[in-house]
Amino acid sequence: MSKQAETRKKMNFGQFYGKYGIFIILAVIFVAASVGVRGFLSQYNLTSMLLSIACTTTLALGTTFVIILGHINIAYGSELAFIGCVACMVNVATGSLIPALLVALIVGILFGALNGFVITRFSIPAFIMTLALTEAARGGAVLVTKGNTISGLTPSFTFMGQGYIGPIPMAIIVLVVAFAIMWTILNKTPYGRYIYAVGGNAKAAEASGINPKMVVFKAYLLDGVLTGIASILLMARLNSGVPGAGLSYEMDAITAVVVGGTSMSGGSGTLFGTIVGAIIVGIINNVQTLLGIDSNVQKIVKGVIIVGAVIIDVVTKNSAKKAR
Amino acid sequence: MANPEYVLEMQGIVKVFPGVRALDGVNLKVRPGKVHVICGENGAGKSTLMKIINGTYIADEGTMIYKGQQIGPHTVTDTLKMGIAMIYQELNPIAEMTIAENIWLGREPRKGMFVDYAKMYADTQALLDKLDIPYNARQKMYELSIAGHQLVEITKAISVNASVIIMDEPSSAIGNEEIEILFRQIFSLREQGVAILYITHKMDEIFRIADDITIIRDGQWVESGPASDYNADKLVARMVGREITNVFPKDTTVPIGDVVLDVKNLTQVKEDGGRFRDISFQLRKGEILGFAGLVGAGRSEVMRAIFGLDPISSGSITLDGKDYRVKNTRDAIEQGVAMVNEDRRTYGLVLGRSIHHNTSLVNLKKYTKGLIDDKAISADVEKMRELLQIKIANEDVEAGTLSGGNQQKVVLAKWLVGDVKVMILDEPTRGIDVGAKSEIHKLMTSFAREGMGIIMISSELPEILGMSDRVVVMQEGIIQGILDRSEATQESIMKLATRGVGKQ
Repeated sequence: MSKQAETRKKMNFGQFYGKYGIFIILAVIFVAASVGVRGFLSQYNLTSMLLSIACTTTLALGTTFVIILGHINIAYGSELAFIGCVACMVNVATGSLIPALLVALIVGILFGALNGFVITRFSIPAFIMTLALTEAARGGAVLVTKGNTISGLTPSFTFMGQGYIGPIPMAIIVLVVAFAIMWTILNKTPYGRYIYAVGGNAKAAEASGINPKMVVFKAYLLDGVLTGIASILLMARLNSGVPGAGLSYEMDAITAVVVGGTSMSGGSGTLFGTIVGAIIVGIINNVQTLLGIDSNVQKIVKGVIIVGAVIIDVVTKNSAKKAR
Repeated sequence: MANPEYVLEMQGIVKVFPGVRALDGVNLKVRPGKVHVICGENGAGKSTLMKIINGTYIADEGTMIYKGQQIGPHTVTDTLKMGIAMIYQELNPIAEMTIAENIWLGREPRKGMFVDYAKMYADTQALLDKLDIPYNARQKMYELSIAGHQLVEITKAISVNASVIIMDEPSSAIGNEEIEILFRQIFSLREQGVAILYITHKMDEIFRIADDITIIRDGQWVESGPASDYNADKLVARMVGREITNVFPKDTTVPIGDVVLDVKNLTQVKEDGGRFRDISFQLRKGEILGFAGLVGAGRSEVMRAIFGLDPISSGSITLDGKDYRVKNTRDAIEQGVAMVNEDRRTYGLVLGRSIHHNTSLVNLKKYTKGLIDDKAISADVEKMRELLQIKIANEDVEAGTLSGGNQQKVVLAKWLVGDVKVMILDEPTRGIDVGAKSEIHKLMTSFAREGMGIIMISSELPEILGMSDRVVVMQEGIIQGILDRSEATQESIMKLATRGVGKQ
């Protein structure tokens, strides 16, 4: 608009909410839960709340990259089951953690490479590719396990999902380390900046010397690594390799990202937002459980949260735009 | 009773957006059968005013009288029914639909509950024929050029029997030839008593078609009057509120050095797009090489290929005497070629990202030692802000919030933080207001002085003539001639640009 407008640094509500709103909502929910729900503030409850979201939040880190690029992955549930079961079988066969971990990472990377290759090479919508993988990987999980649960995991394996170092659960340490690495990649490396550029405007990115397809491919590779790690966390917590595990985990990961303010149309979003989004959803679920609310009602509430978060996102974005 | 003198009167229009008074007391009186040009710099509020007239925005204050009756608040659908049609700056045709479907979109003729396609196509064809527009109503929109889309929009405006047609920079994206077609339509509409509200930045156009002129500056009404009361200098002075003495600050004393880019027989065959053949030219250090021609002559396509955006089928290029090969834009950039695209919103900037991020996007590796050194980027952004006089509050402002001129400067900054030997500028001042235009031209001169070779594609002949050391004229994918500054005139360029038009 006018020249004055360009030099003015005033924020309207939309811009303000876009930046800090999610933290305010977290604070309000946290305070409300602390005051209103008995047992919420205990160390035991808070730890188990965090443990319950460790696996999906690890996934959500990769999901954030993928969604900032304007893509999606809805195959996490089946990928987790397949990778987790294979890793469990390796763990049982070798009796040690390291080979299982390596196999989980490798298979995760292979899934990521497959997603990334098909999506970029053939320009197939990510939704379709990962929908197909949802079916295929679940089938694969049942096939390799012959439908059986893999039991007899080593203590070192289950430690990943159930153990503690001091007062802190191992799974949370894994999540925090993964977050630190992913945050650094997204915010402090050229590749991270390319993700925002390609998600915001792929054509401008290409005209700036960036190969958009390669950026997308690499994001799916990273997403695969995180899926591999998450599958270990999941199976370790379940104490066994369950081919039917991970059902609807993709929804929890995507919910965390969306509630955290990442736009489904790409180009914007932060990992802090995703973590906060995951914790908000975690607290809401936890509080409902503490209050003895039926788990099916909890699902309805989750549905409302997803739509509500996106409505807020769209509305605030419009009001931010009008300020121009 | 209808007031015969004015078809549309607007009085004291105020429009406030959060934080900005976009319009502050604007008056406008439009006579039927006249072309009324709205003048003002970018950001003056011209488009906002037009959008209030057509109902996209609702004014906060002020009155609007149409055909003697006070109207408003109203919606776009209302105004269309009343006979006010708007042709937007950025057209949004539905590419997969036919011309007829686009024209009747949302108000398709019906037979019972079904669309009456027979009537729709017959009516459309009759309309196109009447207007002398050489299209078939069943052609898909994607087959048409941008100028074609505009003609279809005009046809649409006529199909609603509009009394007022608003045209927001209709000529910014089309070439001289197409502009003539557009003007013919405008003149014939004027004869039929239709009032045209016209926004443009091109001076020569204003004086060719304007009957009346209204000037706004920073959202405020400056003055209105018959076009005969103005000349270019007076108009510019009123628009910017200051005198701009030298529109094209060409400095012919800039030394011209060795050949930096040598292009030989560059060709793109059909499988690769086939948009040009046998392109040969040389660019020297310190030289500004203008590329003139009609829209679609293949100028942008040649440059896109040199920059690695499109494939080259055969031919050779040397840069600084070394073999220059490109498979992608990264190759081009690493060898020192930069390109400022004609469509900066699509190819120039990531609009949702900050100035900081956009400026560093091309050269991020330069700022990376392990991790990105954001302080080094900020220092360079600050340097660029001073060098290019970018008007921004701070580097965290989103690129999309800037005016056209400032956006273009950020695009330039993005390249200038790296090493550029050859700068390709495709329509560098399109849609940029007079003041900023002249600043961009000054910058081009200073880049040339530092030894950069500059290629400038422009569809504005005054810009080509004003800034170029030599002019390459293209037509239908080949070079028709290369003129020295002394030989280049409107006539000599147009003669080459239209040579052989019509024959194969």
